[in-house]
Amino acid sequence: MSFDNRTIFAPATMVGESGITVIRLSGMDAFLLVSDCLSVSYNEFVKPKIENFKSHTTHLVYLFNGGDFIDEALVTFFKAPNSYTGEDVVEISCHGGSFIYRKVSDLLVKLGAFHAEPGEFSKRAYLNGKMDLAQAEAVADLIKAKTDEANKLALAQLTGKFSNKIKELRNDLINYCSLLELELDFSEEGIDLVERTELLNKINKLIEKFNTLTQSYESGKIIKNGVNLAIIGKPNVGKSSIFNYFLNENRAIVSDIPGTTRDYLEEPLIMGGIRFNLVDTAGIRDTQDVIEKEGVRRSMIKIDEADIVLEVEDVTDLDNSIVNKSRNGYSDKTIKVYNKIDLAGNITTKTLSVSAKTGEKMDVLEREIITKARSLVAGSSKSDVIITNERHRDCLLKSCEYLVNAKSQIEQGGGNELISFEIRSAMDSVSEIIGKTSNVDILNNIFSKFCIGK
Amino acid sequence: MPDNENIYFDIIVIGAGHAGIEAAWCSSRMGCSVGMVTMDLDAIGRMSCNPAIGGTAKGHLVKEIDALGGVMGRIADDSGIQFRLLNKSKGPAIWSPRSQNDRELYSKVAKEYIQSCPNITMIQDTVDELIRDQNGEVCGIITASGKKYSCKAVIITSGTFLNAVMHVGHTQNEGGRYGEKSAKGLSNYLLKQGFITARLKTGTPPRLQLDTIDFSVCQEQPGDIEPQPFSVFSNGSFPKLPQISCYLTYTNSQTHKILETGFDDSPMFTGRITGAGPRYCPSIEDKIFRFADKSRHQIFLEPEGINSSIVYMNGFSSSLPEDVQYSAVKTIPGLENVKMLRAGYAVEYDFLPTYQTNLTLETKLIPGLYVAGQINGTSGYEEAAAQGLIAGINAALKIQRKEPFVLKRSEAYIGVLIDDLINKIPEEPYRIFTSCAEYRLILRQDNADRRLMKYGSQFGLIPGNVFDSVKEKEELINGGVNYFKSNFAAPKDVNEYLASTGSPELKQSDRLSQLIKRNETKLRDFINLPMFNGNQLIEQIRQKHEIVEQVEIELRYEGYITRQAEQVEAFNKMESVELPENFDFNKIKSLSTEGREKLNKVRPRSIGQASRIAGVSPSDTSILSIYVKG
Ligand SMILES: Nc1nc2c(ncn2[C@@H]2O[C@H](COP(=O)(O)OP(=O)(O)OP(=O)(O)O)[C@@H](O)[C@H]2O)c(=O)[nH]1
Ligand SMILES: [Mg+2]
Repeated sequence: MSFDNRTIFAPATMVGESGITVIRLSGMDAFLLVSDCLSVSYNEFVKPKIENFKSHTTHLVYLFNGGDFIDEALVTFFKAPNSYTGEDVVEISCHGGSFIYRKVSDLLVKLGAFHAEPGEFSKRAYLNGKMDLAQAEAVADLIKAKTDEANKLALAQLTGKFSNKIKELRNDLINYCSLLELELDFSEEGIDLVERTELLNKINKLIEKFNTLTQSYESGKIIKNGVNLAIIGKPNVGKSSIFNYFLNENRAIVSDIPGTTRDYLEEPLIMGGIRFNLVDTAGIRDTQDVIEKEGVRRSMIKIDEADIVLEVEDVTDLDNSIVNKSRNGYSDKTIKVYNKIDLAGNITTKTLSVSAKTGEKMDVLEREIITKARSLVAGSSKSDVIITNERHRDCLLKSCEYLVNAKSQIEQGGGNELISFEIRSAMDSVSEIIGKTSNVDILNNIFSKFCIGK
Repeated sequence: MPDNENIYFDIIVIGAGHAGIEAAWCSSRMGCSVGMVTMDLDAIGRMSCNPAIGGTAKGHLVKEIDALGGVMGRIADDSGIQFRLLNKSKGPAIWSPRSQNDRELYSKVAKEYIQSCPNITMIQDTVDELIRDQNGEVCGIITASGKKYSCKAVIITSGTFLNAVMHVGHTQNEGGRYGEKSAKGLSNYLLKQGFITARLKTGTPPRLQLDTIDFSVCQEQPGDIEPQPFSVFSNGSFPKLPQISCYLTYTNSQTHKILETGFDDSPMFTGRITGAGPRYCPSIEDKIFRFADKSRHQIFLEPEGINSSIVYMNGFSSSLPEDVQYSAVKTIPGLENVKMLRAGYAVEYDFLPTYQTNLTLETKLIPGLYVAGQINGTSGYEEAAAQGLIAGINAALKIQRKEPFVLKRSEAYIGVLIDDLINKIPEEPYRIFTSCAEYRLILRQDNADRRLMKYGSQFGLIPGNVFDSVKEKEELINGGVNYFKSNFAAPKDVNEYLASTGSPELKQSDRLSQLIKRNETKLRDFINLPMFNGNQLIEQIRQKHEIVEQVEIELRYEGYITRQAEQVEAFNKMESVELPENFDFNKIKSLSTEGREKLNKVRPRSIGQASRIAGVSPSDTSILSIYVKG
């Protein structure tokens, strides 16, 4: 019951060995609460006239716990509703280090503030109407974002670019629905009928828009979660060596015994601004060893899950039939690389030959991988907006399904009320993304846009 | 001292229009004594606008009123001179019955129904004030003639009579309708009690003299060949009266040009009318002004009765000066030599924005006071009647200390109507549409009795035998639907029929319901195939046209009805998250200012209702649900 009355706080920056730490407080009593520990004087506790502080202004103050001086700080005031949460917000920039943070945090608790729960600031922002659902979700993404691209996407979502796109789609749906409703409710009053083929065209275009958007999830997912890059091949070809090379660390065990890697290994890695999940797998071969067999099975799963497959062959041993036999239909996501070029005396004609041992041509391989990853991201993003969230994709898919139903109703000469039912269902699903739904909108639209005669 | 201080009625109904009739009828049938106060005893059930009942979505309301035990459908059936099922070319959810009525007769029949209730006493007077007891509850009325009556509940159904002003061109008259007075005393009384009123306007078209119209150049619109009554009570001799046709004609550029010359004198354009008029039923001057690109507008010429010489000019509402109207009318094909009996006029009147009432239509300010009809900002007879019925039933239930009766949006158009009224403060006269009903695939006019008669029966408004026959019907329909869903047809049984309809023949057996769902199949014919001979269930179904039709609808809509039922379930979930009666919205600081203001006004009883209030944002709704769930 108390969610709206409590003043909450949390460090807004990483606490640790940094120059400063920013602590954010939010709540209806935030101003009053901090005023009990602010002093204008360094020597003695003299409260500032906090009521004179304007919104969005910063002030130099001294933090006091009772009579004890704690730190010199800058405080910034944001008056409701013009703040991140829509409540009164105070940001205290004190000196860095966990020691000072703990002192300030203890002080705030003593004054009646509560430690914020994860996401509580954003939840308040949502509840106060500062952002819609999709925007709130973006904040979470933003915090987790590890690359520029992911960052950009989350920002686009936060600034409402994504929500606007959704609203655009929703408006299209409202428009079509209005047309149908108009015909249903006013047909006795000389309303022109909706041209079926025209409506069908519109729905088709809309379905296409939905498809483009849902497909962008593939890019979105890659940008947000990283590209799954699986290194596969026969045993002993040097998979783990390549894995270690990219990580710049002896993460995987390397030995000349075929079948060294038994279970797959996964590590995050950023190359060319793109996030990868690098996966080393067990070498593929026929084996009676129960454990190795399981390892091979897992390798196959990793191939399926991979966005890019790095298939490694040993230039000194080019028989790759076993691998070719066991894999199927993933050739377009494969980069083939020949390893151990140092042993071949550099005479190989194979295009992409490297040496994990000497590092030769490994930069070429890296560029190749980055290019492939970029094309993956770009390839599916014909859309000007990219979706990154599974919930959003599911809503869009559902919505699209209803539109396809609407389409077949139109084609079969189904009634307006059924077409409208499908379009309304589609509308509800889309609205779920931003958390809005209402059928007043349809009626209002009827009246604002169209000609009604009686 | 008044001489009649002891006269007591359980319920006093003020007004004898369409809302008043249902309110008095239902409450008296539920055992209450009713005093019905009207300014004019001859104005009972007067059709002050067009001489028709029903129409798109309104027809649904009439069917629902009938299923609950109201009288509108019966009166319309008895006085109907044309019956049509509108929108027959569209899906069954949109089919809507409409009747053209003999205006005089409608009023006469309505009076007879009221007079047939021994519990109803008619009083010709005007109510000036209400009397309230020490708890603030209504306990009586004081009339203009100084009489007092005591009671336990009052239902105001005074239509457009509150502070009504009539406009024709520059001329203004006080009065709700042509030649009628406006009820100023009651209006002032309500204001003094703290009610908030707002202004609305409505218009009527000119009336024409029948024998001066050349119908030969108009398009004839006859009624249905097999007219169907509104009411389950109207069996036997139906229709009672000879049936007539209406006629369709159009305005033209000449008409529009003449009308434009009157714009400077129009009370709409000169600003003398401040009330908001309906956007969907605009005056002719509104139409040509707003839809300047339309070269013509439809005009329906509707005879006002069997022996009436008056024709109603549907589609030509106007408050322009009389001479302008007349010249414009004469440019319309068929009306070149017409005699205009009366010019159109606009009425401006007060209404009580409905956030001041509960879903039972009882006012929040004065317990025991109910309001129904146009006073709540609605526009039509049917909307008024539906509210009168709900107010009447609830007033009676309250007196009998029983649970209030509220229909959900998922149950009836009446539920949609009242929920909309309470949650969306109307800015123009509210009219029901099928698009207002999000669950319209299951809220059809054909199943109104199956949906609602149980309530009518529960309140004693429906005789046992009538309810029994609906239960039997329901059983047959369900039996039929299940039979066709679970049984199969072999190619040899149906291919001849399928071929005759132009539908692809069967190669192997298929479910009967699949065949019935085909657009080409008519269940009426399909059911007569030899394969059904000797099948008892089918033989029974065959006998009743309406059962065949409803089985067909249920099968055609099958998947949709299931999906709609799922939506209703989700809806009910939101409706069942209750907000306590005295919930303090002010203590939730995070609500938006507008949201809080609207919530305080309407005081919703559930999260679902809160979410429908205009001005309450989705985040307000989430805040509320988080708050309520703790
Ligand atoms: N000369 C040379 N030797 C290499 C190169 N890459 C790997 N090796 C050697 O090849 C052997 C196998 O290397 P790993 O990286 O363990 O091979 P793997 O493919 O992971 O083998 P499994 O895990 O058994 O499937 C080791 O002895 C490596 O030192 C290379 O580029 N040149
Ligand atoms: Mg290995």
